[in-house]
Amino acid sequence: MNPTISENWTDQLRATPRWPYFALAGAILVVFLLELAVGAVAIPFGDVARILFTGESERYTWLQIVQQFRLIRAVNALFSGAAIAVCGLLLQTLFRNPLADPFVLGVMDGARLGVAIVVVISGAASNSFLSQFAFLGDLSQVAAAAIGSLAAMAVLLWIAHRVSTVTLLICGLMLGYLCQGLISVVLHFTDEYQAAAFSSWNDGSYAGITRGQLEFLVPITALGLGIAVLLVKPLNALLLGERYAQTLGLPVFRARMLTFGLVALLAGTVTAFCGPIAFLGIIVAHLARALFQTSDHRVLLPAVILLGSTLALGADLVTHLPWAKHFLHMNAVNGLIGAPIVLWVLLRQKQMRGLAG
Amino acid sequence: MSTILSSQSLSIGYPNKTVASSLNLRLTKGRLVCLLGPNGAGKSTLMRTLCAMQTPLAGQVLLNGVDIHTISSRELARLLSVVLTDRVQVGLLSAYELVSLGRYPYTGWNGRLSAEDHRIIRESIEATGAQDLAARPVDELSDGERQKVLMARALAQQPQLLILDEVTAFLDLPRRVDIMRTLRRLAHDHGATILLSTHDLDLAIRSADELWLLEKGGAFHCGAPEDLVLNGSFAQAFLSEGIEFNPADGHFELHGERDGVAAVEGEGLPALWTRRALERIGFSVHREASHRIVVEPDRWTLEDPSGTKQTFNSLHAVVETMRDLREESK
Repeated sequence: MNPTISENWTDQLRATPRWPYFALAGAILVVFLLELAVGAVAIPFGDVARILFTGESERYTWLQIVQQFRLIRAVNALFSGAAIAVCGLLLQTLFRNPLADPFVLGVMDGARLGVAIVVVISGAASNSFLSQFAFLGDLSQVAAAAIGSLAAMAVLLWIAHRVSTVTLLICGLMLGYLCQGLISVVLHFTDEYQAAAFSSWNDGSYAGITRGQLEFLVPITALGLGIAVLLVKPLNALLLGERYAQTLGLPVFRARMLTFGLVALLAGTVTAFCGPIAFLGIIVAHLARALFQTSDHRVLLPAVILLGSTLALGADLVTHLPWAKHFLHMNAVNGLIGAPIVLWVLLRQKQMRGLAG
Repeated sequence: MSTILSSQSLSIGYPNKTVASSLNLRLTKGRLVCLLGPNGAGKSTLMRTLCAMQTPLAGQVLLNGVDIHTISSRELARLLSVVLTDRVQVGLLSAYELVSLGRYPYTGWNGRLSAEDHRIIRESIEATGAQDLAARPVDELSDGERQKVLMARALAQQPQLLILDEVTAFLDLPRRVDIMRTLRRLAHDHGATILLSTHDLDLAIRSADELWLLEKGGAFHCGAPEDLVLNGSFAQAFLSEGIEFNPADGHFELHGERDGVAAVEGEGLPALWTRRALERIGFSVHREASHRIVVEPDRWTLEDPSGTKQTFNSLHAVVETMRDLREESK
């Protein structure tokens, strides 16, 4: 054979670096604490730590602010960010499309349509009950959102086989607009209180969640992330394409359906409580690949979870900076980072056609 | 000689169309077998049936004596690996990581690779000579390099049987020769059993231990390449494709319209290439022809039926004159 090949050719292979994981975990800790300390009212770190560990504070308002508002928001961002980021990664591998993401593909709008329909039906069924969301069990809201996202993904799946990467993206955008239109139509049949409550939910935010809803969101997303960990091996096989995955012994149909179900659960749950969170899925998957220079899901999945939490907390922090709250909302921050990444991917399409496998 | 794969009275095709029937196939351990046939003869259908991607219309495919359709997909992946023409786009996977996916049927729930897995991956890469590609991203590899890496991946599955579908298609000649050489080495030195479907007739005749010929209409021949040449199966199978096989020199020729005839007298390479030049412009070469070309080392003499002689110092001049003569006679 080629005599120039050294016997130690394996030396050029690089091992996956571990430090980025620790760096990201550290970043989460820092941003999480900043989330609790920074805002319209600044609270010193020492007092934040004291409130966290002892549940006491010398100032009652600080205790209230941290426990009733900031902690709930931060925990929400921590879990929702990870969940949406994982959805982005899963959809990119599943559709073999580097621009797939639950927001861009209209999956979140599908979830919201699901919730809107349930809201209206419940409203019509029990007219006397005028409080908008309270009567809706949080669980039925999650279920409706999951079914809505599943329906949106079924449409995408049906389209995906016959269109190119970019066309699928446009189809997803249109699907999103269609769902938004349908939401308006559906809300037309409800009373103005409910409609008003719904419109405040048009923009994504980690702040709108209640303590009770958080108690739903955390276990469901944690469960979903756990299932995602079990999917790393099938996802790697799917990088090769369906036929190769099949020859490797992967039950392809089952793996795909399980993945779709998982995305529906995660994206549905988060959308039900936070509204549509723009671009996060795309941003995080690409940053993780850039950071670790691999498409191996065993490396990417933990990175995506950590990065998703970091970015969600970071974006939320920016929107709550004392001087920023009148200018920025969360999706604007996501868009500022996300849109350039999408443009960059589009412009590099030729080389990057296979980024997600 | 142990049999890896066999079939008895196998019929392949689709519910409304039988592609071939009564196929009795046998693959012997350590042999490289090439499946050849004109386009549309059903090579892909046969390949898919043999690797259990498609069910046979009748009969069975036996892998190690067991009906292939009764083997679980995970077990099958340990016995048989496949290289397809599908374009593989794996983004930022390195060639090494791609090859490591071949360990999929052996690893646990999270795909973690043991030291033993890494050893097998290294051996597979070395066996295909892909060492210098290992660290590179798959998407930066050329088509030929990517096929090599995919072959290494197939080897990492440690299969009893390797099935490759048209892997030499779209590659240039040196790459094709390289892949064939690699496959031969895998079969003969490493004991791999390999079935390769290909359009590369020439290379298949030179490299395969055995050829399977599938004709349009389902007729099937198998045997050593040379046997198939001698009994005429080869020429027959490709006649419909417009490809003429010349058993005398083992060359394939495009079977165009023959228009005009000439005789060539002479010896050695000059005579051989004179014949080829005439055939290239559509003449058939026949001893009894009225026009004769006498070949001498650096001189060509054309004699027409009237006995007139013309001398040329290049084949180009000969060919142009023959063309003119043909035009005039029309």
